[in-house]
Amino acid sequence: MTAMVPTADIDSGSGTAPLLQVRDLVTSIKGRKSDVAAVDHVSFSVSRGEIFGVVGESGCGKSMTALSILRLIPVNAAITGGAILFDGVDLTTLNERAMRSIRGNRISMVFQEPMTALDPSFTVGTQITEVIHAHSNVSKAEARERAAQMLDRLGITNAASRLDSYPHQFSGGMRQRVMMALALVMNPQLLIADEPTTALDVTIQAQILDLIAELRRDMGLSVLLITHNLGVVHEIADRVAVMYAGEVVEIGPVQQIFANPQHPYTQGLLRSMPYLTDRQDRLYVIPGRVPELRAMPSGCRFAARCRNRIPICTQRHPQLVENEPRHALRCFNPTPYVD
Amino acid sequence: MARTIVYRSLYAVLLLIAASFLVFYGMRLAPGDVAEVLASHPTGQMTVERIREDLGLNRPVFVQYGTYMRELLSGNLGVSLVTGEPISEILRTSASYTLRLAVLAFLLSIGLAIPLGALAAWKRNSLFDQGTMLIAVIGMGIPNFFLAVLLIQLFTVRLGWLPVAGYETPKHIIMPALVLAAEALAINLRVVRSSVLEELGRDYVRTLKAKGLSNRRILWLHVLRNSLPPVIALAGIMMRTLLGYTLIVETIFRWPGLGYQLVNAVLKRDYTVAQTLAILLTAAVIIFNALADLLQQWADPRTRGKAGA
Ligand SMILES: Nc1ncnc2c1ncn2[C@@H]1O[C@H](COP(=O)(O)OP(=O)(O)OP(=O)(O)O)[C@@H](O)[C@H]1O
Ligand code: SF4
Ligand SMILES: [Mg+2]
Repeated sequence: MTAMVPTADIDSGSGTAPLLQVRDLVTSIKGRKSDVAAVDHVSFSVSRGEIFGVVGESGCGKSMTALSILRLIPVNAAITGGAILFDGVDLTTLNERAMRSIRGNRISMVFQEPMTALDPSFTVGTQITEVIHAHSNVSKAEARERAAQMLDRLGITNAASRLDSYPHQFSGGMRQRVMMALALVMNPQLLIADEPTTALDVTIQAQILDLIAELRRDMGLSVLLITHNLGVVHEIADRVAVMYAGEVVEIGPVQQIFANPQHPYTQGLLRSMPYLTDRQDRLYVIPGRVPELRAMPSGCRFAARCRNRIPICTQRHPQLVENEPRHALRCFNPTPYVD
Repeated sequence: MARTIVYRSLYAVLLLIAASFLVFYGMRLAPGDVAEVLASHPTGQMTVERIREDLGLNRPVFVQYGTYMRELLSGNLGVSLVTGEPISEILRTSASYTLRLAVLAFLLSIGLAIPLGALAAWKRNSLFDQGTMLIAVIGMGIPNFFLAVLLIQLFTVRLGWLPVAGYETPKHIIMPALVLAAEALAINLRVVRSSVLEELGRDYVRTLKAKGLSNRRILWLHVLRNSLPPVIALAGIMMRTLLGYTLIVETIFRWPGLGYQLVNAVLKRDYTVAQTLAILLTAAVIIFNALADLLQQWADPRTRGKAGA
């Protein structure tokens, strides 16, 4: 028996109020003629101490969702609907000043590009201590001390002397640790990591992921982990939302989604993962492309690329429906997964 | 960095030699003969031949150049053919006037362009941005002498606030400095704005915002700091252009700087003064450029780090 549920109710099931609740979020990009929704009625929640993954192909709205939470979306975009409840407060209603006191302090973000995300002209020490000074009243010496401790905590040797180095004197992996240091130095409740490992090579990638898992364990950090790599999600996330063309198409605990993926798109993503199959010879690729924002089909957005398509798929827009406890999907014709 | 300094200096020295020779040679090609001018001078007593002999004008131009440069480098600049005044004296007073004017104009243009240009970029497409860019377009398009005429009309003729020409009071420098600064200000405004605009689009700006920093700190510390290299690069060129324009501006306002003296010397056919001033002005330009290059390298910690490694 399946039932339609308000999607925000699909949470970790821990019983306590989630730390972050994104409800029916709509983020639109302003166009010359009309606006288009890059994030379209997206709902999910992140519990305290939970690592929540968001996956999907390039352009499906993952970054836009993350940037909406911190209200750092591009100038030509705007949050046009929904609510973002963080610790009970709707972030969409806060003024800039209140929002600034949350950024880098209670919610932090690390980005994909460790090569360009740091200011090239200032030392790493300055870039970390200025976060501390922005959010607390401490002496310069104490801020430096805390910055050094954080770098040390994140596995940078000679932390105190490295404070005076410039970003270009660090390798990519080390730079990503510096990014994490300035994100975590204020001990935030939520870390948003937007493809934090994509630009790094595999060993470094594993180190950074281990680090995130460890921080969650030690600091009780909640993490919103954005990636296009299901392997990363499988490794460290508790729950995952699969996004397609601005919508959540499947959401649930990682174990369930990997054991029993229901949505044809999720199944396609799984099939195209290199190291979960033995078929190293020919990597599966989902045929076709994500539809343009301006040319979004009115029926199922995945229909053009779907092997399960039935007539209703192009006529009506499927809703997100819970098919087993805490596991929901947006599909008229789900079938069991065959590899 | 040390290597860069050596190479850049070597290049500057070669350029200096080539340029000074060209000026020297050019003077010889100019219509009219020094000797004839001197002979026709009311106070002159000597014959054309005698003067030629005295000045060594009969010798090959390279030899003349060598003798001249040796004297110049040993600090013996000679005397004015017309007045007999030592050129070092003319140089000392007029250089200080020109420097005063150029530095004031330079500071004025940079000092206004940085805050206005940065703010225009931050408030892109706002009324403020459009207004600033309009000023830049006007400043760029309006010829120096025309602006001078407008200012004189306004401040001297209409309002009677400022004297029209001369150098006697501090007020005298205001109009020439404004005219001299106008184009540099216009160019600097555009460069600062576009440089800041480019930096604002970079990834690190998003990181700074995500850290919860104030807009003020993001713009005036981080973005501005990163926007400066092209502005500094331009500052050298700007100083050279400014020095070039002093010729016109000093002449219009009768400001007794190097440019005014040079133009005067040429008009009076005072060859020794004209030649020495021209060579020294060229040298100043070349040295400014070399310094600006080095400053720009130093301003960018990425190149600074690499050059040091
Ligand atoms: N500044 C912008 N102006 C216009 N459209 C934009 C802008 N930024 C993003 N978009 C569009 O919004 C949609 C969602 O983009 P988003 O960056 O969220 O994708 P993503 O899932 O993060 O992809 P990726 O894996 O490539 O980072 C895309 O169609 C993208 O083209
Ligand atoms: S709704 Fe239809 S087209 Fe869309 S994913 Fe399900 S089966 Fe495929
Ligand atoms: Mg992205």
